[in-house]
Amino acid sequence: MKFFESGTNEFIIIRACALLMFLYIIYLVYFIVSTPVVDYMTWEAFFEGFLTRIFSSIFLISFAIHTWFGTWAIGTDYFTPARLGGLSKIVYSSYRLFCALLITVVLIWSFIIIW
Amino acid sequence: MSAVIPVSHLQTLKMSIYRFDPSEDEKPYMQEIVVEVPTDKDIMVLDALHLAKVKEPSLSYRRSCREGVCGSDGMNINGKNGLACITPLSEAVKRNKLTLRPMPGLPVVRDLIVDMKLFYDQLEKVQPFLITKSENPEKGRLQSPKEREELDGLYECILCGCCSTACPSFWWNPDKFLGPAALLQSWRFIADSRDEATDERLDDLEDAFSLYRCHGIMNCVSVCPKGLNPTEAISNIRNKLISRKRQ
Repeated sequence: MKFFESGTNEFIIIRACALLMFLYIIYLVYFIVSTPVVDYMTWEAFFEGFLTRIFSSIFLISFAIHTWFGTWAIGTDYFTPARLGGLSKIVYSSYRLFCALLITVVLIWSFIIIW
Repeated sequence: MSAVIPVSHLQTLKMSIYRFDPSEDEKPYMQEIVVEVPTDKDIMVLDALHLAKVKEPSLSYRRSCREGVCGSDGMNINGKNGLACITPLSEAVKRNKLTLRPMPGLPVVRDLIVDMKLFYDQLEKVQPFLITKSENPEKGRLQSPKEREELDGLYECILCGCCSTACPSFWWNPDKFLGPAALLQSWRFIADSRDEATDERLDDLEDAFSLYRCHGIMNCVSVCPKGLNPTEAISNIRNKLISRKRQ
């Protein structure tokens, strides 16, 4: 079985991405709680920091992977031959293409903002 | 029933029942049937259905043992799957109305009768029987009491289909996702100390659909008339698949 055909691999990847995103949220919350005054200057300085940039990048990559698998699950639930007949293949392919483009655009755009 | 019960001990119950006869009806419809049910005892939904059938003899449904053992009369009772024969009216009726529909997600043969082929096809895939490779021992394949205990909560499934037809993942992909009933049976044989095909069974569940389409919403647990826990069984199989990956 190919790597991406394995449900177990997919399950581990999704959970690992979710864990990384959760850790990033804790990192953000810690910054907000531990900073006496959160204003524009401290907020900007925080996101300009090298460590935050690295963590934000890891978060965004995890988010992209998680979204890719998540939208695959939604698509294979609803765009099936049983529901859409002969149109299912083209609707599903268009949907996946749209997801891929959207995720790529969001990822590139976010990286431009962060770096 | 009304012939032997005093009229003062009867009350009316509005039943709304899904009707569809493919040889006569273009599309399904809900039929309102009013029946008289006793107030001095808590009859079951199946008893109320019998009363409805007296008024409407063409009404069709499956039933056999009428005590929650055969699993024939699984249906959707006021929005929740269950066995009509062991669901009391006091539990099912809301605002003096009882709505009965066939179990969702499977093709309707007629009225409350569904075609269970998809369900049985998935059950067949998990090979719900012991597979052994070693020589048959003289005294049979023995288990310790502890090994036998592992099967409690698994072997009791009566294959009524209430769980699988309450599962959205099974509704969307009934041909690919095995469904909670079949997966409970799969774990029943993986967990059996006498079975010798664990690896092959796990290999068959490794793809992205057969098992991993379970998102753990636990509808199956909520509706199981035998109080079983297919979600836990699925989780056990998943843990086994993941731990196998680590080795």
